[in-house]
Amino acid sequence: MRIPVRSKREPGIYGPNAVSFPAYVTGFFLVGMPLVVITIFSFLSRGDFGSGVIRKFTLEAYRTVFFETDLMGNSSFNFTYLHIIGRSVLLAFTVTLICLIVGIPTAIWIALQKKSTQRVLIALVTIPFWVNVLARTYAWMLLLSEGGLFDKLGSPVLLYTSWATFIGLTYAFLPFMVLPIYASAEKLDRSILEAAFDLGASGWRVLIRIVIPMIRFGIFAGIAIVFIPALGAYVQPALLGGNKVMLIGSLINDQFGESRNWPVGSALAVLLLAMTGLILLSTRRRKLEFAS
Amino acid sequence: MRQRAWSVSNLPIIRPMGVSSLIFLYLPLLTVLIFAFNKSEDATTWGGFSTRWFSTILDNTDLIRSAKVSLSIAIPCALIAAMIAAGLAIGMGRATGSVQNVLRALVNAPLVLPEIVTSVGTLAFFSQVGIPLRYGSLLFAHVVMCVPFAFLPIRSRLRDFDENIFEAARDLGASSFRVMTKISIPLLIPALLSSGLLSFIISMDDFLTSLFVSGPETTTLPIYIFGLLKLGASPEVNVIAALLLIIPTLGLLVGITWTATRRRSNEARHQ
Repeated sequence: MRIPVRSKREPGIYGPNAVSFPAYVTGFFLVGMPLVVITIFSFLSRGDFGSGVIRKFTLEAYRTVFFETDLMGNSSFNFTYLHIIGRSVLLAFTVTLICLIVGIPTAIWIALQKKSTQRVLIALVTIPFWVNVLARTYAWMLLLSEGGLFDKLGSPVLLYTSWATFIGLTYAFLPFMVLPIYASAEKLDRSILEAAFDLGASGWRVLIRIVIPMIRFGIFAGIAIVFIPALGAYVQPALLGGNKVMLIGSLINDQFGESRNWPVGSALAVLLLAMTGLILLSTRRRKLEFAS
Repeated sequence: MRQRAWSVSNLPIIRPMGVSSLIFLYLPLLTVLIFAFNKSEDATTWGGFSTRWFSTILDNTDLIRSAKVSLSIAIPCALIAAMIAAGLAIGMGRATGSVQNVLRALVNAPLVLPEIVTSVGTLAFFSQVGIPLRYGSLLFAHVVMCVPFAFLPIRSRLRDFDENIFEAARDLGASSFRVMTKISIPLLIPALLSSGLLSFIISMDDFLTSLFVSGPETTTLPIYIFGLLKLGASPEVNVIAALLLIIPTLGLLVGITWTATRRRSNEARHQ
């Protein structure tokens, strides 16, 4: 005899379905619509009086990003914007790489401590993440400025150089890297590592052949959540780099502010969005492979 | 037979790297804390211990005004975001519909999208629909940013409980509304507190969204501080940065100790 069982998948198990409505409404109007609007804006013409747009379809914004037209009307590649995009990708890549090199061993180190020590160390890694980003950036202004601690110790003055931007971004995103890797390293079975050692594997071999493959999903997650915000960073390049070197974040900001070319700003935002999508897709696919 | 005692130190570079990254994370924070008590007029040169710069910031009316603006956004933002997130977690149940999946992805999108994209998008949307950049628009821009974060503790708390509790209530004839008010919400109270705290901190800290979506009367604390920081280091900023560091850290420590004590008392009760 079959007993009718309420499906586990049935919604409404915790309460009426309708209470999730406000979240869907705000998500649709304040996350979905803005993304739609900037995509549309990127295909419209620039407003006459600076800000805003005119409702006339054109590919001008994308043409401005990729090409330039000289006085004779000949089009050629415009490397100004492409350079800025390339530089941002390179910076985000380097920051992610250094965060990986520092973050992977740190996360493993924390995961192999006693449970109570793990909690303390994870709290220590999390705290800087909750400190206001401006305060954290300011800390590096203090350290790297002329007359600052690093200057007194004989290092060259790095403030308002790309090095300062790089240090500030690495500092800001290291916790983002450590936390997801720790989450998967925490599940590491120590006995497997012990077995490998007992069978004569060297420390490096255990690390590279066993530990890292076992925590790879944490590493993929870490790459995505460091690379994406590093690519669109605004605060650190502005304060530590002194906005001397243009990056995509400050470029978009300028188009919506001083330069007042909303279609070009939107086109750049759409490109950034597309890059984000690519990174998410390439790190997500691995998750599916894991699930199957 | 030779027995090797196995320990973390068998793995190369793990410990030195771990220790150095903690130093890397805390050296800047400690510097800010120490220099807040600097007597010298020069922000970067130590001139002896003093608390004199702390009193100067109380006279800074712009700072106080922007702090009030930030609080007037962050407090309602925390309440609204926690409520919306709780509604989402309760109402979606274990549902998996494709329309709902898309909507839920949109709700969670601020977690992964670069903030510069969402903030210029919000500005473009508000300008297109004709919503003026005032208090309400900034508040709701903050709320959508906080909801996906606020959702996390609530969702994990709901998952911690045995589904049979809810099933049993339904089987005994409770309406889904009654299940929500009598079971789900009471169980969620601790999670709602952490959601509110998370949202409060995120709203207080937010810079980029506020930069684009705030009007002249809604200059928040981070926008004001960003303006100061562009001018470089100063003794006054040392103190402001130290306060921005101390206040959330204390809040977080209280939160962590509270959950740790709860966990311990829960474990004791189960034994």
